[in-house]
Amino acid sequence: MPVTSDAILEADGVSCAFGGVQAVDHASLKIDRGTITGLIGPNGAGKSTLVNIISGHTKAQEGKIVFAGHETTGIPAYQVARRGLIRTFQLSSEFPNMTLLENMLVAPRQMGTGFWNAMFRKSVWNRQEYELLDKARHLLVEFGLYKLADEYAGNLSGGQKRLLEIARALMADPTMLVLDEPMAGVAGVLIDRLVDHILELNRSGLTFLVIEHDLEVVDRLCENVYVMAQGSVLAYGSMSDLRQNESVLEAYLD
Amino acid sequence: MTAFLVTMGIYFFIDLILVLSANLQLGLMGMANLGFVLFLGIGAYAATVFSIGPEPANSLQQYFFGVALPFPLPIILAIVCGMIGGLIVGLVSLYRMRGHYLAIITLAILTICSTLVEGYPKFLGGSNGLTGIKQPLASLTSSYNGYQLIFLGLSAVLCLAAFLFCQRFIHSPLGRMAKAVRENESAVTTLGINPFRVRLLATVCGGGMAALSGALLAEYVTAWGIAPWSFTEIFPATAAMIIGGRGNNWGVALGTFMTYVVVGEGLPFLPGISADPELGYAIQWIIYGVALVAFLWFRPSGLLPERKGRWKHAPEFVPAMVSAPSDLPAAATIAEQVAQEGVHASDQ
Repeated sequence: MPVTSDAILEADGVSCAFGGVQAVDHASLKIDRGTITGLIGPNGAGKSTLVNIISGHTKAQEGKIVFAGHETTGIPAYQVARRGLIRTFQLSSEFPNMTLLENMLVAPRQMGTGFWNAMFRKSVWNRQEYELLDKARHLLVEFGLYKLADEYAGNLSGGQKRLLEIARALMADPTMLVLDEPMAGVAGVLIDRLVDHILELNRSGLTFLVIEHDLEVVDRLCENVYVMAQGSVLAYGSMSDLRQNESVLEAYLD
Repeated sequence: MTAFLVTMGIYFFIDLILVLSANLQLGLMGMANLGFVLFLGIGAYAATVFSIGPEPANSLQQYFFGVALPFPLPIILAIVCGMIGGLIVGLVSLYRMRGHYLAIITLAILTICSTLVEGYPKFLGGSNGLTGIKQPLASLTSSYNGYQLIFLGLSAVLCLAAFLFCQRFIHSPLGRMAKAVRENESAVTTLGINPFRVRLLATVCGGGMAALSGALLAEYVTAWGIAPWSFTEIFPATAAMIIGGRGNNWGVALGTFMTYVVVGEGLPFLPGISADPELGYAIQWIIYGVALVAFLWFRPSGLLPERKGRWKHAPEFVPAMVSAPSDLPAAATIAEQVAQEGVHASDQ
């Protein structure tokens, strides 16, 4: 598959086995810039493993990943993140013993994380600190978490942790967000809120790949959806197309 | 009495440097790196061989190298050796190991090193240790008490430097990043942070500080050997950190005062105990153990807990539109929490 100009992420023939379990089996997908793409499939279909390979958290045994025009196959997760692909996790991954604001301020690339700058050039990072603080507070307001800004993140409810995680990811100025089951453990009102946020962020240009079990949410979010089963990509299309697809229905939707 | 207080002050400063080093690794980063005692020994031996001078022909003690460098070179070189030691241990162990595996491998490295020194006496004096270590700045005064004050000043200045170093480290964006690595490693990687680099940095800094503490200790008592270089030294340092408050430098100072000074030095003066040093020693260890367990059980964050991030001089922020979803019902199910605990416990 040649790299086309509007594809931001391409996975080509990716395979990964854990012992005797073939978690991902020659899976390929292509995600266009500025879209929200869904990734659905039954439990054990290999969705999370595929996302782990894309984000660099798991090494693929075969195949290649191209993100934003550069091959990222096999490079460490933190380097993938620095190129603008930020992900969230199936289990919310806040920093529990840090305040919400501290959580937020970990994310951006900043001057004060280098040893020399941190120790001896406070004036350099101090000003940037205030800019980031301002940005973080605005985002917390937007996500309705500002009242809790100085609370420990571990004290949040499950849904609030999801919001915080997405807000934190935004602090890193990503070009693409990969959300692994963002609605898991989130109740009604908050789901609507999260959906609205994702749609709004998408309108401002952010590309999304969303793994989700709640098909109603997928329907509201995604133009196109990949269906995975037994490690391979089974089908691709809009939700209404997929509802007609025999093999998809057989594997998953019935 | 004054002489006693001065001695206690010197020990307090020396021990505080060691506990600050432990705090940087265990407290701030949650790394079970028990190697700080290893670096203590490295610093002490380095300061010794760089200050003691060449081995005399008919001496009872044997060691290799041995030069008499003027102050402050032995101390500086000791810090450098500790940092190199930290770098090597970090490269060997941090890349793959976490939690109790890291604790075991750092203990193993400590044991290998002390066995090596013990089993090969020509290297660093073996189990007899080394005596006659030159004291820094000894030429300034000839009186014993005067020199005690000089050493008190020296250790106070170096301890203050170490304290300020740790304060800046912890309360900088670097320290925030280090805390985040402790809290959730995989979340940190997806924010573009290389956890290995942060861990290695803390180990190198911690190694240098522990070596400084060891160098001062060896130069103060003018003797060093494998007896004080034992893994049992881990416990008072860890107790001091946990009682005081891990991650909080002021807490660490308070904890060091409580464990090393009040229990370690004050206890033997109590009536009934003063007559029997063995008894005092035993009671001291019982107190360390009980206090450690009690704090971990009832107050794991210590007397002065790690403080929340705050930005004192930040410009005022008036939220334009604060809606109130914060009173939404808690959505985390017990199953989710259990699943999370499971992941944390397996150190994934």
